[in-house]
Amino acid sequence: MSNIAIRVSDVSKKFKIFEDKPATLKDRILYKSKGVFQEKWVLQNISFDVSQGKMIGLIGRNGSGKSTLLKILTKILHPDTGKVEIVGRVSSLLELGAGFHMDFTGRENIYMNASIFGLSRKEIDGKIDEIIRFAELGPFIENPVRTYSSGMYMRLAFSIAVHVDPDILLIDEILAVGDNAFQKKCISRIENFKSQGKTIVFVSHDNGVMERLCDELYWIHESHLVEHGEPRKIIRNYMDFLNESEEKRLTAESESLAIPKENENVVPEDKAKSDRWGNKLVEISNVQIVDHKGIAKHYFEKGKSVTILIDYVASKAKIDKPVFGIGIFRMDGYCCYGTNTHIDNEKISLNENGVVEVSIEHLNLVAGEYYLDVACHHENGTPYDYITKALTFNVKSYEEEIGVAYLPHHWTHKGEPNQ
Amino acid sequence: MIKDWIDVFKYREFLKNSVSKDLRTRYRGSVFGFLWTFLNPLLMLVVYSILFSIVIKMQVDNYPLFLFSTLLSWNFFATSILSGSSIIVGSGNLIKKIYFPHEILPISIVMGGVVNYVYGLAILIPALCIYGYYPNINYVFLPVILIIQVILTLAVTFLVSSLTVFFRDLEHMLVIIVNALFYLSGVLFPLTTVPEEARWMFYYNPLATLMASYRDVFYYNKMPDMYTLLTIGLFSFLLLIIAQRIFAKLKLRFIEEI
Repeated sequence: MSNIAIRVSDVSKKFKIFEDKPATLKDRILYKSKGVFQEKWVLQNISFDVSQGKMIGLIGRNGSGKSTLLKILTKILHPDTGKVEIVGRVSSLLELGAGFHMDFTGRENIYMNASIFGLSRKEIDGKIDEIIRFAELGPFIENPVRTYSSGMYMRLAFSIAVHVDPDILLIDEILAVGDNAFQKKCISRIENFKSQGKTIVFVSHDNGVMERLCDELYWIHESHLVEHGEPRKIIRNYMDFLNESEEKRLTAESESLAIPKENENVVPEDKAKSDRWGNKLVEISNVQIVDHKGIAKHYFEKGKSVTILIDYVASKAKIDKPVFGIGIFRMDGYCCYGTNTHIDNEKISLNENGVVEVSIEHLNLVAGEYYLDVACHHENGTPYDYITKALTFNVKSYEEEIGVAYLPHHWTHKGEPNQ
Repeated sequence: MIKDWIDVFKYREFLKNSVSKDLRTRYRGSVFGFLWTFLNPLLMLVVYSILFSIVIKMQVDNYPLFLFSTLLSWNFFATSILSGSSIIVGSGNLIKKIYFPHEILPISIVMGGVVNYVYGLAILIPALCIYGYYPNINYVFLPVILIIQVILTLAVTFLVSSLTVFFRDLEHMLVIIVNALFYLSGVLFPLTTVPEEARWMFYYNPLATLMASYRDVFYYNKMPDMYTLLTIGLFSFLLLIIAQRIFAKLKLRFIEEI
């Protein structure tokens, strides 16, 4: 096929991780073994073709090998086995502003930097005005780069990189830098490239952008290519996988971080994560969140029903005016929802022990990580037992709404304005 | 192998820019700035003139010029080797981030050295004129000698820049080696003052031949020994081919070592 822009055939790459690397003559002679090292495969048997004009995305967790693959595509790294064939000029947005010289002016750095991408003087002369305009630097272009703010620096670097006029563009997670306006500009520039029929390989953790822009996604996990295909499907599978491993992680974490008991020696580290106070007339012995099937979990789907179970032990049979409360907080401490039995006008008379249940019909929170506070206190506010961050849990959602809570809604459209 | 050189040619703009960056930033922050490129050889000449006319008497006419006609080219060689040995390690940041033919780095060092040398001639030739050594027809050999020196220097710079990546001590060892070579290349004294039994060391040293050739042109106003010079030229060319092959082999592993 003649219209293949990138062909990666059976590429593998391993890194040597030296425990203590000898580099001097003495070390080489004394320790003939050349140092103790482990080999780590970062990429194994990766093969794929990208046709001209296609935009593909690479997704995967940190350390899965995405960036290494990009570096191999730019020829910064060389694969141990297999080969990469590329047709056309490659420009990479891996590291913006590499090779800038701080004492040179913006204009001088444009000449310097663009030449690293292989442009001739003539080509740069033809593009320099456009580069300066796109970078929005105005008169600052004649100032040394060391006087630039980081935003100006970024804009200049990005502007140069995208004006190299490549046939193939490699982009690594650059959208994570810069302010919103800059990000929008990056994305619209990328869309522009796409419409010009350039081939693009894109790495990002912004699944929304990936889904919108890419024609095909490749999912890399632990140095292997797991799956590739239509973006929506890959992202769904990838998210499911992430949720599953997150569930495992949270379960493992909660086992080691169970609610600290007062009468046990509590490790200070645990205390930092969870805090509790109160006079312990009523003690909360266990907190669980279960799904509609009654299974305790840390991962819940948005809008499904959940139940919070609070086990308690009362020190004496007669507790005066007890109130149970819950609070759901976003990880940044923002209270999403809080209520208690007093607000809801529920009267509870306690036994020696028992379970208080809060059933939430629809967990209408947007996707994210949350923590739960539970408390039992006297109606006048005297705390019996108050536990912050008793549990953390996640809400997952395939939609990407923003904000705090999901408000049930639907959209309609009428052809005519309302009468 | 040809492919590597074509690649370097494609990046000639970058090469040009890094040479000019080197020259412009070398004296950055100093009051005289770029002027130092000329001040440096001029002051050196003044120092040697005073030293060898008052403090030490050498059995050579106009000894400062005798010395100076070779010292500039020696400095070109020595600086290229010494700064070349750390250029790959020192450019780690660039190598890890952007693709470009790594050959550019040692080449730019040597090119910078050539430019500096040519600027130095602007001091050397007027100084020669003052003492009555006027430019003559033998100056046509100057480009030939210089080209051979560039090829030789480039070959050695390729070797030391790539080997230092894997064996960092080389950088420090080179200081000593270059220092010893200085005395073995006949920069300081005419070959006739060397005892007969030690002269072979100079015959087998391509640098000694180059230095003698420069001196023939500038100081003795005579044609250099072309047979020896061209033999050295051929040797340098072969060495360059081999050195580039070694460099090309080693450059694949640069990124993992720096």
